[in-house]
Amino acid sequence: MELADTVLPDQDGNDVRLGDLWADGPAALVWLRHYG
Amino acid sequence: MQLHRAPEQFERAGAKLVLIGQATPRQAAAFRRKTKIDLPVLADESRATYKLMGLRRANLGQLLGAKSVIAGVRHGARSGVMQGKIIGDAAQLGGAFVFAQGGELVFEQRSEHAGDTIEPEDLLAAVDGASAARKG
Repeated sequence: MELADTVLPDQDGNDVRLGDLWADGPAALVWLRHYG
Repeated sequence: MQLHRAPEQFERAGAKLVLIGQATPRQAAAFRRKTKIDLPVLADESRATYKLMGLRRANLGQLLGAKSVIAGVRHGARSGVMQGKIIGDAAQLGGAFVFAQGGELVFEQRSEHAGDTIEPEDLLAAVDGASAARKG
């Protein structure tokens, strides 16, 4: 699985392709430990 | 700079700042409400991207060691957000990555223990570096 092609839902349930996040400029992605 | 104050600074830098958590979209929405963080939160319930990025699962010492406890207390004091009920794999550690336009990885940080978090200033510096490199 390539990260850029990975699709995840956002908080509203809308699909987001990760590669689209850095298509127009830099993107910082933060993986959280947990939601607690 | 704390994470919940960071969106405007990233926007000014022409960059996106996105959080990824290990639960459902509904839990991601609840997390945003609780923390008042005005950032997109993506839901990776299966933790597939955690594995893809090589993010570790902590052992007991990395979860409950002195470094983790002290960092947790400091974070709570700074942010005003105290840890509540844990949703997801409690042993899963996080990380932060910055991608330049086009996808080149220009910054990576993988947590070594539960209290090992990234400072938004470091992410912003990496973003600025990526933007400067692109402009030449």
